[in-house]
Amino acid sequence: MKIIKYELLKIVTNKLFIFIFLVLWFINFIFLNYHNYLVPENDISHKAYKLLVSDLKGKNNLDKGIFINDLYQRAKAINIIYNIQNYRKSDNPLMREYADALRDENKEIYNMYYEESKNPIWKYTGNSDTELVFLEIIKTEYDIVNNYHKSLNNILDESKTIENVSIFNSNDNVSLKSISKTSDVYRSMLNTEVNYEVGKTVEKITSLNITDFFVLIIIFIFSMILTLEEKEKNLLIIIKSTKNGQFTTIVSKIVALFISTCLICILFYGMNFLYYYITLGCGDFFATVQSLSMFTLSTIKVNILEYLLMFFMSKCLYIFLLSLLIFYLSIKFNSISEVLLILFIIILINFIVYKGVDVTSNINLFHSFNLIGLINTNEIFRIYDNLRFYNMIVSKTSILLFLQVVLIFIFIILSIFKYLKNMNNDLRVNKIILKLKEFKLFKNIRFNSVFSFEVYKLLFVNKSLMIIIIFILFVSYNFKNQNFNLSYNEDFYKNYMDVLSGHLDKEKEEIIENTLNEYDKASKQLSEIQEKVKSGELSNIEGMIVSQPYEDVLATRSIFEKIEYKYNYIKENPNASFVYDTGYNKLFRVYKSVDFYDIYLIIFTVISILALFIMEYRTGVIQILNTAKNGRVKTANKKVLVTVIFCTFLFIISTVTEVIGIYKMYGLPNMDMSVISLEVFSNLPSNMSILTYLIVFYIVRYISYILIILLVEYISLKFKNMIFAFIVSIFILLIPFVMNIINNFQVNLFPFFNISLVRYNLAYFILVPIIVIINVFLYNSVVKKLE
Amino acid sequence: MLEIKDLNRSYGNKLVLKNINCKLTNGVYGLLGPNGAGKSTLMNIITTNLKADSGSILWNGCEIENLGNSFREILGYMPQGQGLYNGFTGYMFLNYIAVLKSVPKADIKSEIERVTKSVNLMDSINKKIGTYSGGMKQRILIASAIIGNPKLIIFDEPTAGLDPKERIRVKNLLGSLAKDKIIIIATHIVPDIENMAKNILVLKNGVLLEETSSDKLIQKYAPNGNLEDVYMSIFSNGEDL
Ligand SMILES: Nc1ncnc2c1ncn2[C@@H]1O[C@H](COP(=O)(O)OP(=O)(O)O)[C@@H](O)[C@H]1O
Ligand SMILES: [Mg+2]
Repeated sequence: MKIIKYELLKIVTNKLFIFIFLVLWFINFIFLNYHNYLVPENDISHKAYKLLVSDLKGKNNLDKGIFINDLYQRAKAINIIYNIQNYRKSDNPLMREYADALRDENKEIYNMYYEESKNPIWKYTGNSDTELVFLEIIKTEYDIVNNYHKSLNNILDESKTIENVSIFNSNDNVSLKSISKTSDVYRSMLNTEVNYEVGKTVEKITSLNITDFFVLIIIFIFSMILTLEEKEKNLLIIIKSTKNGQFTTIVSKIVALFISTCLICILFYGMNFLYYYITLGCGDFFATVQSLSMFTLSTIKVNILEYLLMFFMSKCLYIFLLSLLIFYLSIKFNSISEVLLILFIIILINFIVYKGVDVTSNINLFHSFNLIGLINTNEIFRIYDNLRFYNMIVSKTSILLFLQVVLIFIFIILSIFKYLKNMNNDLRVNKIILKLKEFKLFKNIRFNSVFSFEVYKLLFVNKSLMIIIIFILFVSYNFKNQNFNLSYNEDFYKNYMDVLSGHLDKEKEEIIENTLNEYDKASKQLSEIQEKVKSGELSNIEGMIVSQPYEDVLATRSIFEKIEYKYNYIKENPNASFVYDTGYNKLFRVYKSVDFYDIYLIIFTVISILALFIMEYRTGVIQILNTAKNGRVKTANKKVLVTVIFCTFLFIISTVTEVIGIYKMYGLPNMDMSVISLEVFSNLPSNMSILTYLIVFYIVRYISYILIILLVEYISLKFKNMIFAFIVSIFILLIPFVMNIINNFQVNLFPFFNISLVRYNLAYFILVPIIVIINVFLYNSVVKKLE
Repeated sequence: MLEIKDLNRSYGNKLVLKNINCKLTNGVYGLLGPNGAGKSTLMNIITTNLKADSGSILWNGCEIENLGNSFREILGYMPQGQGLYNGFTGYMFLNYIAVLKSVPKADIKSEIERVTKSVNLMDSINKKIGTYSGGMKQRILIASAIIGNPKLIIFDEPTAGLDPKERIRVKNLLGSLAKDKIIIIATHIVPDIENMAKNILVLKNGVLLEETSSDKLIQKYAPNGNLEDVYMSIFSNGEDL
């Protein structure tokens, strides 16, 4: 007991951990409040739901239906009335005619709601359009729940039909078994009672992915602190005691891990629960979970409250599994770089499995059972399903939970064994491992310079050679899986631009004018046909058939608008010419400031260089370094040089694959033309060619990348602790990027990574000297820090 | 000649070294004092790992701060705690230290061989340091302190964590070093320096109590005993306070 307390105390007294925890907790809270602004779904406020929930409270399902239906009919009717009134005001006589027809059609409701429509009260949202959207959502939900038994019966009937048919071709025995198993389960659900509940609250509580993300970060830091910190500080010797004592220690660690996992989950998911409970309100927590439209196909027999508990416990299970994985890895491997790397590979493999295994394949168990698939806890319970592993079929819910528990036990046992073995490994038993450790690539090599030693430290001691190999594999895998096919629209655009490519001349002008004329003709023909249909000269069907060819012609009209726009632009700017620009827009990050390439690059950069700058401090060799002639400034200089060279490789690999990818897909034509041919860059000097701009773009990117390297080094020297340096670097570098991708912010927090912002304002070029100055400053502080 | 003048150093408001004054000439010195006396702090200041608050350290009459790298050229240091790269082989580590100390390229090979022999690590010099025992780690650190033939060598707790057999080996090793240089051995273990040190510096709570030969110390503090008794008589009442 005491040891558990001690382990927990170690966490609680770790100031930086607490700090990060509080920051994330706070961000989560902010996020809850601003979620709607960041990712707007619609204008419906939480208040609307809350009000409706309280209006529905205490009613039975039938009354709820009547209540919702009345509201919905009213909103719809008043909306129609508004439409009629608007059409009436139109200048177009046809529209006015249509308005009258509409009124006649809806005479009854028109008269009924006409008075009210003059000054209606929109109780929930305050305006007619939103109210209608809101009530539509609610009504759809209600209908789904209300038809619960009907849809169950449908499923049962359907499966019966399939079973009957399949008697004759029973070669797919397994799917048949799955179908009959499913129908058995649904049959047992027939006597479930449903009483509609507004689904928003539970939906929100159970599907906020950003919280998962935060919890994972916390868990990550946490598991590392429990193991690696200790290793780094060489405390292991102190704990080394009796075998019994070691066993107690490791078990306490695992218990502490479990307790804290639960606590962290309670604090984070509890906050979400409370927040949505308060802002969205809640109906009857004791209604069956099938009363929520989201869960009508679920076959767990619990009420909503119980479901939320199950959700929470499954979440804890998953998080605990992950933390045990990290925990085990950090016992097994000695350096944080290794742990990070292995973890990255594991997640990558899981991701490939998740993406690669099809839902319908005969091993679809692995589509759900992997670290990526399991993160959506709702998916475990939402719909009854059978998962297949070759000829075995098992119910999704039970197998996923069962396998997680099994894995947890496996990791616990592995961790205990590994820990005990680590403790007693003075006599190294494993001869093969010993041999491998003895294997020396540089047995007879002598180095004569500080530089070569820094290279050796980076590539071999810190395993960055492995990292760069993995990076290459990773990038090539990505490249291989890239889809190089153009969409129909893109293909049309590309073909046209290929024809027009180059300076505008008479011939091209003619082509464009001709195409435009064709479009005009086609649309004229179309409207003539419509007239004829209206006057009765052609029947509806005849009209459709006759207009088909013209509609085909016009289908590409909207794409051609882009070309037309370019045409007009070139007429105004004689220096510009036709350039197929999709590839350039991608390359220059015109519409998206950050690409995934950037993120991979940053992650690999941070992982590979972080350790190098702290290893002297971590090992204590710094004390010798300080007393040696070449130990200070020279070492610092060489370290920076080595990391910059190394990262340049990463940069080149990432850049080259990106450029080749874009080149293969879109091509990068007319590089020698003026950059203003890309009309987004119309404010750049017209005598600058696209190629020149490309070079400038990559030079700026490169020096910005160097800034990132120096920043990581600065941070790592500041903290002198791998875990925190890693977390802080990732925070500072990655979060702006991720935010950028999620929310498509045009305002990039890292503008220097994207000089293409000069298209808004030439003054952005001022960033270049600023980056250079920051680089010099960072370089100086890094060297000083080591001095 | 190493001369320390009015040296003070504190951590926060805790004075760790109080007005240290002494002059050291060629020969072996033992710096004796219990844990927390300030030995490592003093050694770290001499080796320019730390800065003093006030006072100065002179090497042959010149401030070491002004000498900078030319002082570091004649310095060898074995810090307290086994600061080593586990991923390096012993050979590689010595090679690295030689490069850091800018031992001439042509001499590196012979220097490594010389120090390896003198610490008796020939058999395991090509093994990874991570596989070394505690005593081997201490010996490789000693080797790295004496590589390049420095004129001032400082050992901080060279026998910490060693078993008695290893301890005697390390002591013999230190005793065998040539006497044409200044060697300082900081320790709280009396036998480590007994019969070896020309002079003994006694450090108590940051104050340099004595700087004299062990015979004189025995005369003064424990006329009928040995150096161990001197240590007890100086420091045991200190603990009572
Ligand atoms: N980095 C530090 N911060 C604060 N106090 C320190 C630090 N290093 C040492 N001390 C204090 O200075 C005193 C002398 O320490 P030290 O020189 O390591 O003694 P010794 O090496 O003789 O055991 C001790 O009381 C110790 O607590
Ligand atoms: Mg000490």
